[in-house]
Amino acid sequence: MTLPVAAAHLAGFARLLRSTGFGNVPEQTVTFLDAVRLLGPRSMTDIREAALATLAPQPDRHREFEALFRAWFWGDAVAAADGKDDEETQVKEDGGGREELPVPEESFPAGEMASSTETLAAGSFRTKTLT
Amino acid sequence: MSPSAREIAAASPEVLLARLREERYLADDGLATAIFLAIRLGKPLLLEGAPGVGKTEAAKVLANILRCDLVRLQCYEGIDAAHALYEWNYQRQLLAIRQSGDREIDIYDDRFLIARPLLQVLQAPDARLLLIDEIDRSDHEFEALLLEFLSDFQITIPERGTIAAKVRPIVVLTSNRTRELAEALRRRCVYNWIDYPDAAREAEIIMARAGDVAEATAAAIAKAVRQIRAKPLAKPPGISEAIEWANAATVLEKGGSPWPEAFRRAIGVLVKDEEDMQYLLPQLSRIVEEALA
Repeated sequence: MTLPVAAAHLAGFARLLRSTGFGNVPEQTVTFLDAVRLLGPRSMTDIREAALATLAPQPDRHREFEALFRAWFWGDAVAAADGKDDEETQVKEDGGGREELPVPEESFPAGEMASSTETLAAGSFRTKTLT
Repeated sequence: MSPSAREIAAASPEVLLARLREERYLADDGLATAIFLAIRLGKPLLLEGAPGVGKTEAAKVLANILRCDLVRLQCYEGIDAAHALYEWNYQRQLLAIRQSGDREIDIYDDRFLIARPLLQVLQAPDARLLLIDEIDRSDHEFEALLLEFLSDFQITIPERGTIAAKVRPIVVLTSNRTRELAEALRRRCVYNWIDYPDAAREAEIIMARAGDVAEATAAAIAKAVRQIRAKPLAKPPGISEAIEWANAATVLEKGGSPWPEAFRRAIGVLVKDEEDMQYLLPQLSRIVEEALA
């Protein structure tokens, strides 16, 4: 069983945060997908607010979160670089490696890297174009 | 069956935002979305932010909107299960044993059980909202105890068995972030960081909450308070202090003090730390005049 493309892309963002040391766990990814579904989503703002509420980035890392969000969903590599340079938000180098940015949606095979928990829990997620 | 207050309020984040506004709580979109998600996902809501940004008030207003009684558990260093869960009333148990003579009595009857906030909420989960206030004041052991409660919404009383909530209660936790909470606790909650409002929204809050304050006064107060919060103060003023300042300055102005003077004379309701006051006084005239400009 694989995730629909839209859900896989959302789950990919949660994994990206995890790989940069935000400390979120797969259980939160499931909640994130549920939250996006509950909100519609009607806009990227819904997705951003769902991510803030469920993946719970630490307040002192909000700038880095915003940069990664823009990089992941809009392919804004400059924003990602800005976030990386923030002296208070050093990216952990030993956390299993940072995923390449940006990753175009088309090149991300649905569900390829999703954990079994994420795959199971997102079973009911509707396929939807996010951009 | 008619929809419950919970279902009506949590129809959408926009409905919640409007209901909060009706209760004179001017939230931003992020907070309304977080409350909506907490209700709809059946998860606790964790509100973090500096003291005085309106975290506790958000829970109180939410209880009103959902037509629930607010059950507040104020955390402090050393708080334990007996204060949060339940206690047996030993004196009453002893008295009952003495009075019973040869009769057998159940000393673990409801009569002898003192329900503390967490148990109170489990007993009526759709009629009570639990506020766990200033969780960062408690210690790690208490956080672990809460984690168990927030996972299953049940309490095990060895003498009585397990008491579980029939429906998931609404639980709001607040933290001033004086220390990091356990990651496990953060992960279990829907999270929102409440920041100080921008000057325009704070002026709107002052207008909504203060008694008889002119719009220009509210705008000036909001601007000045923003400047004051940017200073390195031990206790930066919260929103409620800004409202008090607006009220006090208005009263003084009506009593005959001209405007800049009324702000300066009422400063005691805004800044309550003596060292902060000494630091601020030399700059106050300039801050007030700039805000009034």
